[in-house]
Parts: sequence; structure tokens; C-alpha cells
Amino acid sequence: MTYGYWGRIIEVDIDTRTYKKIPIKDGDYRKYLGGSGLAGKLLYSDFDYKVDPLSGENPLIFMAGILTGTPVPTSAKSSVVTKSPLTGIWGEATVGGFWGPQLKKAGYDGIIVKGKSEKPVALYINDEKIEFIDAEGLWGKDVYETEEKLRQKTDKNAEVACIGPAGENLVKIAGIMIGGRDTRAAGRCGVGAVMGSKNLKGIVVKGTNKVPVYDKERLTELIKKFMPELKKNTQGLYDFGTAGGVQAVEANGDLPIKNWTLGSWEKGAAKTCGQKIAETVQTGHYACYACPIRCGKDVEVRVGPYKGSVGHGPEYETCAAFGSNILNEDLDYLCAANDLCNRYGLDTISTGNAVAMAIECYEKGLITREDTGGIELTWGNGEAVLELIQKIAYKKDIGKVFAEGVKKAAEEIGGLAHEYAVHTKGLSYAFHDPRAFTSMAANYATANRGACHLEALSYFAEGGAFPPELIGFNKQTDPHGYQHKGELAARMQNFMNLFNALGLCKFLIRGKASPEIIKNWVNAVTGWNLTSEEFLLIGERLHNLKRMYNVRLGISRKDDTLPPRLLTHDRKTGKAGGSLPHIGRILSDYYEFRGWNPEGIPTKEKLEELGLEELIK
Amino acid sequence: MSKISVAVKLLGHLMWYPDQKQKQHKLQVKEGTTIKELLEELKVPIAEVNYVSKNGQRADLNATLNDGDWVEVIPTIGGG
Repeated sequence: MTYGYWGRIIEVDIDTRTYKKIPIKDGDYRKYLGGSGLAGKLLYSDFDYKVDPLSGENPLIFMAGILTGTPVPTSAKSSVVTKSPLTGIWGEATVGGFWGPQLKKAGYDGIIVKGKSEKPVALYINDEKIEFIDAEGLWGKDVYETEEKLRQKTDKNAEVACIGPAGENLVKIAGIMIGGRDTRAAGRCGVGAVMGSKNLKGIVVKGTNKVPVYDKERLTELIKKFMPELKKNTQGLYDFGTAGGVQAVEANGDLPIKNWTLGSWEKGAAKTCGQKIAETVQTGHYACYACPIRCGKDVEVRVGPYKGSVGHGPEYETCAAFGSNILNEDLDYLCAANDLCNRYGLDTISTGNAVAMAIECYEKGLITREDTGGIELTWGNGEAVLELIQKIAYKKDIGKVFAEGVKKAAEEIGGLAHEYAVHTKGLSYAFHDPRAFTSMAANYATANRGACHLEALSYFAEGGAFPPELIGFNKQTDPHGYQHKGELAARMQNFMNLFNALGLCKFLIRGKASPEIIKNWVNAVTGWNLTSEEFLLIGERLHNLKRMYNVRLGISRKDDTLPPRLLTHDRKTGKAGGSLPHIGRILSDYYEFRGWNPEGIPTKEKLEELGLEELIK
Repeated sequence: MSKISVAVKLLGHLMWYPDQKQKQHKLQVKEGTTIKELLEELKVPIAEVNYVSKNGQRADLNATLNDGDWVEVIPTIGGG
């Protein structure tokens, strides 16, 4: 008997509408855990890396973590892994809500979807029973309506992961949305387009099993001991959500403003933050499965085509996307833009960056009113932004260009447009500026899916939200300096890889969740006997495994960089005015700490040390 | 014990914690008051403080205050 995980996944061939329940070896869980770890192992070993991401040969892998669905706090997460159609490399998106825990209750750790259905279809997993549901009538429906209709067709308490029109239209910045109106998003890397390419509208899950825990008493005792620290440090997240951090981020010089060109926006931040949302449009709180933090918020939508409805509130990232980075101080338009992205199934980070770039291209005359279909695309113009989001989701006018992501949009528009496209490896930047905390420069340059903040979350370590001593980093650093930043980013990346594999939320680190604490939970749930060192080594293994997937696709140091705007543009004002990351030195430190060669390739010795000999070619 | 006068600037979201929801504060406190005690008086949770400076220099939370000091409080980073 296994504890925590079931040792089996479902492999679906969507062409033939057939499936198999396949076992996973116990050794694979011990080596890669679950979530994006195990999914990464499967993607690397069992599938051709050269495939076209939107072809039937590219698998779409959903994988819950080995702690997902257990009583461990925040064990809500699951990962979606595939070859990204946006970047052409490693694609990974992680999502909370209740879908992953429900999949575990149905008795599975994951689902691999292969092939391409001729007609729109949805999948219904109900314990041992697996059905294919005709979804022709749902094609074209938005995320909220799709969730409601799929529940009506199956079970009112079932959990739904689905795409909206953006995924259907193969928009490369489309995500997979979970929870309908209470939207949680597997947003990044264009995973929604992969689902759309398979004509797969949704996956519905319902289960009645309980995820087995090896030592419940010990686990309860460990959680009880941990909770006070978490509660103490996350009151702000409960009160105001992640959006409550907008002003703190601005005060640290970490907030992207006007397509990453300005250094301060104090008054605007005060108008577009979680505290202001709580005072004005907020209608309630939301928590993912087993989460004591409850950072989600519901808000009223007051403008736009869905005026009068209630939807999920904008997260911090979305406040930056449709607030500071486009110079919009109007909270109502910010909430409406967020709601539209959730309905259409768009990643708000990539969409926000695309909108900011489009505005700058319009301002500088690279695109015209004719290109925009008549929209006056100016900074802070809320109505124009809502129209552009719609055009991106439906690939209309200039929306068709930006639906490909900022990198492809720059190639299409040409000239100086490349200066306004803020991405690494094709993925738009998350809204934490690497000029504020330069360990993030090391992370953004090397994160396996492109410019992702969550692969290191090292601004937490540099900004007072997590003591890095807990992961063995004891060196003094300057927020804007270059020394030891590579090491800090690498250590954080190793630790963060574990969260996606376990199915845990990274906000646990606000409660000073150390590798030791989490390792003890893993042992109590699984009955294993991991040491903290072995545990952290798994994190390092997973980061290297994903790197090797990319190395096989030609990724090396030449790709590990930041766009010119973030490397050479001094914002002059704000807390990080004057700071420019010294990427050459930072990367050298990073590769050396990682045991990679100067071209950024993991060495044979390193791969052997990590038990990844099979990746040496 | 005599009172001293200090000025405080609460950066970022810290402005929402005191009764008077504003960034700049001028306070009369007892001589020997520490920065930590000052923040407690303003109802600013220590968990939300990244670091503080006194008269432009980074300072310890246990540093005591003198008449005319000005304190800047930088919030712990947030967001998602």
C-alpha cells in the first residue's frame, strides 16, 4: 500500500476516446515526487521532445502533488506540464483551488492526455468510471458558463478544469482555468492552447476516496506546531489578498510601471491595491483546499460588458498587469480586465505585458489606429484595454499579433518593438522587477519556463518575507548588488521545485516553512524516512531535469539573459533607481554554484550526483 | 519622564495600520522609546516590516529614539 499518492495515473488517447489506468513505480515517486516533478520525468522519458507543441504528439500532463488532497496546509496544488507552444521549451503551470484534491479523491495522481479529438469533447472522471462527454455545445462558451454546464451534465459538486475561447482559438497566452467563477489559473506557457489544440474543452473530476496518510497523529502534531507562525505572518494576505502587497512592492522599487520604464508610482499604487479593493468592490473571501491563509477575494465588476457580475478578485500580478504597468489608476477597469481574462481563459501576466507593449507600440507609431481596429490605445485607457483583451482572445485586428505573445509580436511588428517586448525565452515577465532584488535576475534568466517569478521567489528572501538561512544561505547581500545572487537564486529554485512536486502553495514560506518542516510532513504522510539533505537534493534534481529538457532543445547561456529594458534602462526614481543587474557576474556565480559549465550545461558529474545518469548522452 | 518628538514615514501599505491612515506621522513619545515600541504604538505589525532607518541610516528595531529623530519604515515585500 502507498500513502499520500496512489501509484497510478490515467492515460487518455483523445483520438480514439480510449484510456488506460497505468501504474507508476514507487521508485519514481521517491526520486521525482509528484506534480511537475513526476510529470517532468514522464515528459522527458516517454515523449519526443521535437514535436510541434500544438500537434497531437505533444502530451498534456496534469499531475497532483504527493501531498495534494491530504490535511497538510495548502495542499491544493496540481501542475500542468507540456511542451509550451508559447516558448517551444519546457512548459509548466501550477494551480490551486479544489480540482487537484478532487482528482486525488477519485484515486489518481494524474492524467496524461494524448492525441487530438476530431470534435470538441470533455472528460469526466468519477472514481473508477471514466467517460467522454460531447462538448460541441460548449465550444465558444466562456469559463464561467462552461464550468456551470459541465457540472449540470455531471455532478453539481464536481470540480472542473477548462479552457475558454482563448484556448479554443489557440491563443498562445491562454491558460487552463479551475473553479469557474472562483477562477484559479494554470495560466502560463500557453497550456490552454495545447488543451484547445486537442479539442478538449474540460476535465471534470469527482471522487469519494480519502487520500491515505501513514501517520495521522504525527502529522496533526507537526501541523499544530507550525500553524501559529503561519497565521502570524499571513494576516495581511487574509485581509487584503496578494493585491495587499502592491504598495509594499512599489515602496521597494519592485513594481513594474509603464511597461517597465518608471521607478515610482506611489499615488497610483494606493488606488489599485488590495486595501482599496477591500474598501470598495470586495464582496467576500475565498480559500483553496486545506488553506488556512484564505488569500482569495471576490469582487464586484462595475464596468465593461459584464458590469454587475461578481468574479474572482485581481491578484497582485493582475493589479500590476492592468494597473501600474499600463498606468491605469481606475480599480473598476482593473477588476473588469481581470474578469475578462478569467472568462476568456487568458493568463493575466502575459496578457498584461502584451497590452502594455501594444500601448507603447501605438504611442511610438509602430502600430496605428487602423491596426487596432479603431481603438485609441493610450496609457490608462480602461475601455481600450477591455477591447484589446477581447481582440486578443478572439485574434481580431492587432489582437491576432499579440495573441502570439510579446516575442512573436515583436518579430511581427519589427524594429524598435523588440525594445518594448519584456520576456526571457518567450515568456513575459512576472511583475517583480529584477532591478529591485537582483537575485531575481539570476532566476528570470535561468527559470526553466522562461521569465517566471515563482521558480525562485527570491524577492521574498531579499525583501524580508523569508529568512534564507533556512535553506543554508548565510551570506550578506545588497539588494542591488551582484555578489552571491546566483547562489541565492539557485538555492531558492531548488526549494521551490519541491512545492510544485508536493502540491503545496509557496506562501507557506511566509510561515518560515523550512525544508526540515516540510520534509517531516512528507515523511508523516508517506511513511518515508527522508533527511533534509535528501529532500533538497530532490529539488535540485528536478531543476536539472527540466534544464536538461531545455538543453536538448538547444537552450544554453546564450538564452539565459534579460531583455534590454531590464538590463540597461535605469529607472532613476524609486527605491531601486540606479540599479541595473550585472548579469554576466550573476550568471557566473549561478553556474558555478550549480555545477554547470560556463555555457550553462549541467556537467556529467553533476547529473551523476543527482542520479540523472540516463540524461547523459 | 520627559517627552520627545519624532517623525515617522510609513512606506507602502504600512499606512493602513495606524488609526490615522496616512504615511507621515509626528508623535510625542517617552524618552528612551525604541523604534519597535513606536511601531507598536502605531499598530504596525512587525511581521510586515522589512527594515527601518533612523535619520537616513539603517537601524535596529531596538534602537532608542532621541528628540527630533525621523524614522522611515520599509515594508516586507509582498505580492504573489
